[in-house]
Amino acid sequence: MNIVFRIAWKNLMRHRGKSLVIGSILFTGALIMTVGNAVISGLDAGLAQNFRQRMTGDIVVVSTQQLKDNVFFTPMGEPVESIDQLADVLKVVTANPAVRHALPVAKGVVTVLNEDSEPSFQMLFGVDFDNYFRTFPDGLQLVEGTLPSGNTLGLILSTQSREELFKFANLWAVPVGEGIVTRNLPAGVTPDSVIRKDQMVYMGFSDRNTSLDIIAPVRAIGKYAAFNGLWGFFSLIDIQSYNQCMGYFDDQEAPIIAEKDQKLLNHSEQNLDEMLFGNAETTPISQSTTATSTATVATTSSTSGYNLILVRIDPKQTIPDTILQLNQSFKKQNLPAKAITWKAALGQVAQMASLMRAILFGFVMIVFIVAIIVITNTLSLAAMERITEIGMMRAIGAHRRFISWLFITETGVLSIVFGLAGIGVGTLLVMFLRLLHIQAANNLVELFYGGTTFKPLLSITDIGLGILQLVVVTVVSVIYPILIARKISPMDAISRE
Amino acid sequence: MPIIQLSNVTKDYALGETLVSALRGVDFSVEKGEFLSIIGPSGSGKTTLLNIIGCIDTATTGSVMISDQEITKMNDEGRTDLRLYKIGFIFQTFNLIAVLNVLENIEFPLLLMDKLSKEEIRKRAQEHADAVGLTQYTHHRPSELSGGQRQRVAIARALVTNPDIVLADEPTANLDSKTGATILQLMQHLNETQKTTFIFSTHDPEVLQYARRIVKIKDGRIVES
Ligand SMILES: Nc1ncnc2c1ncn2[C@@H]1O[C@H](COP(=O)(O)OP(=O)(O)O)[C@@H](O)[C@H]1O
Ligand SMILES: [Mg+2]
Repeated sequence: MNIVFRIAWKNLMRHRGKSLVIGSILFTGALIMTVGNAVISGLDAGLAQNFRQRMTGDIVVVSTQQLKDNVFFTPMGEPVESIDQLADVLKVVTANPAVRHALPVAKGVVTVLNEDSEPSFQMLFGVDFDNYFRTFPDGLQLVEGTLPSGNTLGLILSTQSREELFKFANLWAVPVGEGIVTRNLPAGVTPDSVIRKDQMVYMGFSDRNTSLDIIAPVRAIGKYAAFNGLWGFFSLIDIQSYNQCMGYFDDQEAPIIAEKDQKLLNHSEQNLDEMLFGNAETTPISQSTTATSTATVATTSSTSGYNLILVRIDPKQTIPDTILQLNQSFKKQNLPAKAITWKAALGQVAQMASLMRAILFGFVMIVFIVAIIVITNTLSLAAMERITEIGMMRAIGAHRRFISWLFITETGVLSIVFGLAGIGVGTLLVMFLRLLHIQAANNLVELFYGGTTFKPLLSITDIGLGILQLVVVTVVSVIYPILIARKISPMDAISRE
Repeated sequence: MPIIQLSNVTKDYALGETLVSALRGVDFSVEKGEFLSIIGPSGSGKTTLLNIIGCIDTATTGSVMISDQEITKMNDEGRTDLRLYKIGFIFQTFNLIAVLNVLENIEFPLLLMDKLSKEEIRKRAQEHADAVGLTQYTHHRPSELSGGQRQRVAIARALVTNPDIVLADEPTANLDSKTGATILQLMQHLNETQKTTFIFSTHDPEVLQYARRIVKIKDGRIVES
């Protein structure tokens, strides 16, 4: 009805002050909600990109023996159960059409034997390097050295692990054959004040009595593209060295992994010998022995240290669907494996991120509710101030629905003008914030940003969500004032004059 | 068949603890086309009576029939329809919509009806503005008009829908006698030409010369009809 709009418009213009008050609340609310939505989306997208595409994959396959899903950051370095029948399990995983990459990982804790100080600990991912870089092409940034590939034995030490070792034993790890890069040293530390170290001596840290000491040459120093403070606890080691270190051998004193891997292992033993005795600069350490000298038989059915399979799926497929399919296949073939989400595998870390998200969402909801309360209040006051006018319209023949429409139109016009302006300005602000490239100061803030840089994200869906929130605020705010206005009778206009 | 028929109508107002009886059993009827004046001292119940006939207030007891419809049994929707389509009400205090100009105020009930075209509405409103002598003021806001001019806007607004009944509560009370006379003459003219039923209240004996029938009210009772 044209008349409703005309009167509504004139009312808004006449009560400019009040219109501006409601308008600014709508504007501010829409702006904050837009930015809030964008921060939440940025957090989600950042987590997806950084964890799923660079570290954990979308799905993690673990052994059915593994009771706790929290497999990455296990409390007290508790070991993760190995996956039995790994080759069959892998076959099932790779056969699933949704799966793009499947990376078996042997995750474990080793003791680092240091020459002149107490032993320390490190967390390792035993992997096939080639597969690792195929699965997570931009997961790791090279800091020093050259990234190992193929059957190269050795270690990609994370900057985080390097710094811990330095703090613990004043040892500064560098890739084999390379010098100390001064600018990578902690601030105030000079090259000659540290002990250069280009290989690690690891002693397997497992519940079986079969571990060995191994020497792992440092091939590269790497930094994770995001969450380095967190993921940097893990250094990468070739799977052969890992298995040797943890004592996964069969009767023939060779790890049974896959045929291909077995070939590599034979090769690796030679390499290790070479490394130990051929390199004049490194003094063999008393505790360390070659892999061939003291190999023992594995006591359980597991013949490899692989305890995780990190799976990346086609982005068009959903994680829950794929998990369901995988678990059905495992069950059908009676394989002792189960698929879980990356979030479940991350345990508390993912929970922290979810908490951040919930806090943000709560903040947006508070803005939402405050906006509703303030607008409801202002409109209710306006309704009461307009009792005479409304009563008079009713006396002349305006129906209650006319009065309702009048309020809806007035608020709606404000909502469209100021609310959409708020969404627009919010969108610009989000774009501006992205340009600033704000860096996370610590791990917690990094979780809040979903990555190293603050990258709020506004998709069409988010803008749609913002508009929906605006509509809800408008509709909800106007209900109570309308109820008041509808109660106004013609007599209210008359008895007050 | 009377267009308005009241039987034993009472109206009590709660005034704090006590009940004020504004009407104490009113019986009276009005035929179509009458030009009737309700006279009585201040506080006698004139406004209350007109408000009940005009579907603005409800009777406490009794029956009120307008065009054969029992309004005391109607819901808000039905009574609003009656106010819009059948009754034109001229209030003692004009009651115009402040944000609308003269022409828009006159158009307002027609716009609420939503039956005529925009052009037709504009034309009718203009005619009624001319009829009450406000041709030059159609684009003025109520606040820019004198009391008499405002009352004329209210009259034009009450008449623009061609209602069966026009109720006017002391239409001249806030006007000087000259303006008051002009307005009563205007109403008289419309009654004669359009056969509209007019009921107006007054406590001013001078106004009575315009009435063709006089109803006297005192203490909420009709004392002479
Ligand atoms: N809304 C009201 N609340 C309480 N008493 C009222 C109200 N309206 C009118 N009255 C009382 O009812 C009586 C009749 O009033 P009213 O109809 O306004 O008389 P009149 O218009 O003849 O001056 C008076 O005593 C008045 O005080
Ligand atoms: Mg009165």
